Amino acid sequence: MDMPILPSSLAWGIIAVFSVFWVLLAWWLGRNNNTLDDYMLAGRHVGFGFAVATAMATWVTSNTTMTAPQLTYQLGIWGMVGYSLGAVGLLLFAPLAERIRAIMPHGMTSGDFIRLRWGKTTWRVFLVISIFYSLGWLISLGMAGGILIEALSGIPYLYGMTVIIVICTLYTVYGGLKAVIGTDFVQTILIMVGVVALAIMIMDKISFEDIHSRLAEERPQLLNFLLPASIMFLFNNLFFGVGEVFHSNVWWSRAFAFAPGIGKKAYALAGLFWLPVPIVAGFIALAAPALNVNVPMPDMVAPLMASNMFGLTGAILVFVIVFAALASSLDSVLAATSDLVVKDIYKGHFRKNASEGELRKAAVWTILIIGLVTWLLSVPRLATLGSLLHFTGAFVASAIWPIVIGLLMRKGSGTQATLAMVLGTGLGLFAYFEIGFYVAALVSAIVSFLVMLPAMLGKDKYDWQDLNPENNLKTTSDNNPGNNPGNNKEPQL
Amino acid sequence: MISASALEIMVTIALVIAAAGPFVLIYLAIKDIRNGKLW
Repeated sequence: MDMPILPSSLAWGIIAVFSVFWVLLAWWLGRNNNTLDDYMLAGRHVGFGFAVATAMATWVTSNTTMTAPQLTYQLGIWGMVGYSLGAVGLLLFAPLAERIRAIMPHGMTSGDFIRLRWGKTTWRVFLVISIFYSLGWLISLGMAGGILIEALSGIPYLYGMTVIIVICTLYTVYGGLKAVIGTDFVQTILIMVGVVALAIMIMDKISFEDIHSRLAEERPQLLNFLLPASIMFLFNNLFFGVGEVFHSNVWWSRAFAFAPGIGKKAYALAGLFWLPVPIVAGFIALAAPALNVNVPMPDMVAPLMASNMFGLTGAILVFVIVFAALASSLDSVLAATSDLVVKDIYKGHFRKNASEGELRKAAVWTILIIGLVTWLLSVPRLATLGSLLHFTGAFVASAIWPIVIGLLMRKGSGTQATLAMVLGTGLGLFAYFEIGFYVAALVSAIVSFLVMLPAMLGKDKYDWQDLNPENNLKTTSDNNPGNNPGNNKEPQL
Repeated sequence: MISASALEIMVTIALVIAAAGPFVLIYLAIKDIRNGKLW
């Protein structure tokens, strides 16, 4: 885009208004945070409405609003349908969230589960995967913020990227998870209203017939059901999305934070509402040829469409949508990664007897440090948004089966889980470099499955009560080892 | 190749669900507030 449509003064004004609002809201919501549970898990009693909104908002990232149109522009119908399959991750996680809350009522992170279920080696491998993924996600969000703000308003990349990271870090520090969830609610409403308004405005300008005939004439491959790269992308994205949701502490911390009985329906409804967003956003890109919008950079197709077609209104709309999408995800990843670092690295490895007050202070400092690291790594624009995102696919998809089997079965060993993660990641990365980004998660998930397959066929050996060492539930079995039938019973759900 | 009508149906269904989202979320939040179950 040669000429930014949004005057930079107006863009700064929008940023200032939203930033002040988010920070004030965070301060207000977090004012009664007294315990570590309040700060890290919003008191563990988040209601249905906020639960749906936070799951939905966190999953609608700048990648949904920018990369979904980009992939639609490059891969066609299957690009947007494939992207929308990211919802499957939320839908499949719904029953698992309920189970996580039931079997680990005092759990705080996904790392807690991996450590107690598979042992310390698997836990450490998992932490590497999870923190690498979180940093990748944070960097892609920071970069997307800088790129979008620059493209729409002319504000230099460095300033835009800096402001989005600083604001999100500030309000997450102020209010903890309550602030994250409260702002997520407002941001979800803004994103959905904005995306729907933009699509309706485009539909008002041009008919589906015109869009279809122009695509059929100029780029028929975009309407093709059998474009091989698109089909591989579809399945890859399915496993990528599932891997992201199943392993990431962003989703586990919410499972622990939601009130009992809320997790299943909240994640299911969030998945249902998320599913159409990439399709609606992708549709905006499909209309580009018919509306004669020149798209020199595919990753900018959505803002280009909005600003070229609707001038200032379109630019403001996209600006607000992406600003909200960025903030809603950035704050969540910051908070969840901080929880993982504080609980699993700081307390788990260095300060085993740390008090609640010390952990609370450590959480604040960790959020600030992660914000700083994200900023430092976002300064150089490392890769295109899509590539950066999919590079982490090989990592996260390798964790799917160890988590599913670990949660649902009493079978398998830590060695198998570790191997599944290491081999899945390794071969997934090999596929990423040798074949393409669109197969990394797919290969990783398949390898991980093959390694865990013997575990599924093995004997039951895990004791569910080991997931709750603080409950001292083993008193009876300690007195009478091996003679407590309750040990191996399914936990009450 | 997908037809124009199939494309229209797919996008319209997606649009209707997405449009319903904000209303449902606001309704659920108000219900939680009334029942004292927001947090």
